[in-house]
Amino acid sequence: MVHALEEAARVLKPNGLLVELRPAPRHRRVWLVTSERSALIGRMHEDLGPDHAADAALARFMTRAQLRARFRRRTVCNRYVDSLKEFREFLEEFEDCRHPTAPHRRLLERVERAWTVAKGRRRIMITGPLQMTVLQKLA
Amino acid sequence: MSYIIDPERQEIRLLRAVTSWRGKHVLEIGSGDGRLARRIASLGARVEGIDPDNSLVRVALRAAPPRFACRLRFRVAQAEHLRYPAETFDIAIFGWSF
Repeated sequence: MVHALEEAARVLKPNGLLVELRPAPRHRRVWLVTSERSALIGRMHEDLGPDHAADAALARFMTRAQLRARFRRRTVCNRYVDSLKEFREFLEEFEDCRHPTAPHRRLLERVERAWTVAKGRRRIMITGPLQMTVLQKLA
Repeated sequence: MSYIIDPERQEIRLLRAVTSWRGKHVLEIGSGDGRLARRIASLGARVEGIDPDNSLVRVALRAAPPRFACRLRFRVAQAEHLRYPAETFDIAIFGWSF
């Protein structure tokens, strides 16, 4: 990561901006959305270690590179899937949910139950904060 | 397959708060399927997206709207070895890369 940041800083013009945008290290929440209401089903249990490591690497990089922090902001970012199959595929980006002790197995079971009971058009919404850090290369 | 990220366009609102993107030369590192690069191009920037995954670069090239043909490019490259001269870009962005 640090090598990539160094290369990005190298190709930036003086006063150029380095923008880092990614989901903030917070557990995402999962909702079932129907035409009538949105119901919170549960919280994900992602491993946030890599996110915290990325934050630390960025902080270390700033201290040694010719960059200064300009600002950091957060916003809410939602993603939607239209079927249980797609939700399973999304969870599999994090782990194999078929494993009996997988942290997301119970969440998946709750979503499946809610999906079965709900009527009409249904969507699964995964929501969590998105964070942006902006650094500026010194002239 | 329907998998939609950020249809409310909060991400682009956040980016608009950074600076005016019109006419800026932007490098997106880890451009993936080009979703964010297309959004940045829609703000008037000239965007070069790089990604180490050849299949994702092909997806990004196919999804690039013809109206952005002159200001949206994608290529396979490693973030650690950029083949650009120093001081080429106004903005470098890591979008969902770390």
